[in-house]
Amino acid sequence: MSDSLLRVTGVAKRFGPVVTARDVSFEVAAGEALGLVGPNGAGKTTLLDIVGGTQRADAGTVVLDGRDITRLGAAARADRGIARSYQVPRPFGGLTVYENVLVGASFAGQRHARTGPADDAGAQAWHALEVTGMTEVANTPSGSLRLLDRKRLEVARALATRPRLLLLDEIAGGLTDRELPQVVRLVRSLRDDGVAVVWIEHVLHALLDVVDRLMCLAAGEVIAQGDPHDVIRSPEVIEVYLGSTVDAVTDPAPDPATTPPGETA
Amino acid sequence: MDWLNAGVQGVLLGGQYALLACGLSLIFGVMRIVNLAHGVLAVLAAYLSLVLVEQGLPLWLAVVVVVPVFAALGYAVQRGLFNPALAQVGGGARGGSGGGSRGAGELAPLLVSFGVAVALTNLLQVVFSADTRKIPTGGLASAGLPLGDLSVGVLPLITLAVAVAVIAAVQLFLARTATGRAMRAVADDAGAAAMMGVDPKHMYAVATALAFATLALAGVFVGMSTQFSSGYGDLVLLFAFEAVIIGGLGSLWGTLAGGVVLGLAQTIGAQIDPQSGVLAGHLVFLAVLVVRPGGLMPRSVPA
Repeated sequence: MSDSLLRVTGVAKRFGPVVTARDVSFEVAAGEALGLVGPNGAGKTTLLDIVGGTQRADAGTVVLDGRDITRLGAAARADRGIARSYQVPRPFGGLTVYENVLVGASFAGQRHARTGPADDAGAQAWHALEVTGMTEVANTPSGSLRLLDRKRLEVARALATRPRLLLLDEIAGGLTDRELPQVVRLVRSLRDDGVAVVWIEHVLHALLDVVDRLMCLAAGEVIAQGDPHDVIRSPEVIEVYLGSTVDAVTDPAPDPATTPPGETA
Repeated sequence: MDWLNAGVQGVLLGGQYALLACGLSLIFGVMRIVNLAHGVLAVLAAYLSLVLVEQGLPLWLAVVVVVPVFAALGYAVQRGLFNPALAQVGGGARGGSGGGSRGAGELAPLLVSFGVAVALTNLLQVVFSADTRKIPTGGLASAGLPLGDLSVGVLPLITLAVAVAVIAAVQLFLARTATGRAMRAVADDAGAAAMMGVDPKHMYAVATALAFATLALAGVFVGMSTQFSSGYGDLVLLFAFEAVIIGGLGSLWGTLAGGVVLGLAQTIGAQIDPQSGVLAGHLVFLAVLVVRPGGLMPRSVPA
């Protein structure tokens, strides 16, 4: 995949004795969605931190669109089109929902997205609220939002930066069956618009509805990577997930290749 | 009538304190740094204006020169001194998921500002000696407006007006501009703000530049109304700090209210006993801390 938007090579990170990334390499093409799964503590979020620039890897390189960004800080990477949602929402509590989104629209991606007049940022911010269904709470102080809206705001803020690469950290957890398809549709439409997505998610059937490829991490190492349905059926992945999650997930998923051979309920 | 006079003078004095405290409040609100060099920096601004006036510059022109110079100084001090110290506080990107990572490094920015305060105070003493000075105002400092039976000083009136204008302007800047919003975002969660393209280090430096600009303006007004010397910064810091705490940390309108409360306490206290004005101010400060530890208007803005 020579035309990859993101290329992570040989990334390693340890916190004292705890290894959260060991020789991790992967690529994501423009308009491609990569799912990231693995047990708790596998190093999924750390990997997003390293790609997003909020943490520095001990070794390895991060290349975006052919340019080495390993040494760039988070703000500079946001400028180049990387956006991020946090698993535990981190809204700017002192700002309204609209203001939260406006910050991203005003500052990130100026290099390649800023073309229009000054109120361009306002329109961009409003669009992000529309896409995520948050216009009704636009003027609410974000500190007083309920959890679902906080999660939506995470995505809206990320979208407002007009990302080329979107890093999503468990945006589906806690959503109802009615809300889940909306999120899936949203991520899929972003991908179809050419945005590359790296999505950490425990709600596997949501993930499998969208992603083109799946990568499974365990103890900081990539143990499987490739076609989503191949990955969740690989013995290593099943072992890591102790079977149960995979079974629960493959059943309801609209899976064309049915009858997983090697699995027992 | 004496009491009324004390009240009016107290409010006017409060304007000066609020102007002094505005920058201190802003830096604390955005970065959680208590800048102990605040007072001596204000005195430095007063000295610089004095030197320029003595060189023949009109006072207004001296202000026009000193304020931008201090803004630039603020930007440089933040990038050169405070930011490296903040980096020791949990990597500089504080808040959110990084919570709890604050260690002994928490004190670093405070200690750096203390170092600046001590060194600068001594430098001022070497350069300007310990003699008291005052910026000549051509009679402005002693001019008064008759108001009924009272006489209201023109300079304190201007100071109060400037204080209100400056605080309103900073408040408007924080509320309405993209940079102001980014500053509030960084104050909330620097890490999340960085992921949205806002460089916290730059934003901190802009905040400090703004704070230093207001502090320079305040220093000039202090220098016009008061006999100051190289050691006067301690008292400036003390009163500014009291105004900030009384008003509520991180709230600019609160800081204005805090300045007025402190000014009133001092003038009314002095009305009761001429020797006890400053003491009365300290007692009110202490009382607010006991009764409302968060201050009168805690944390409405900016964070």
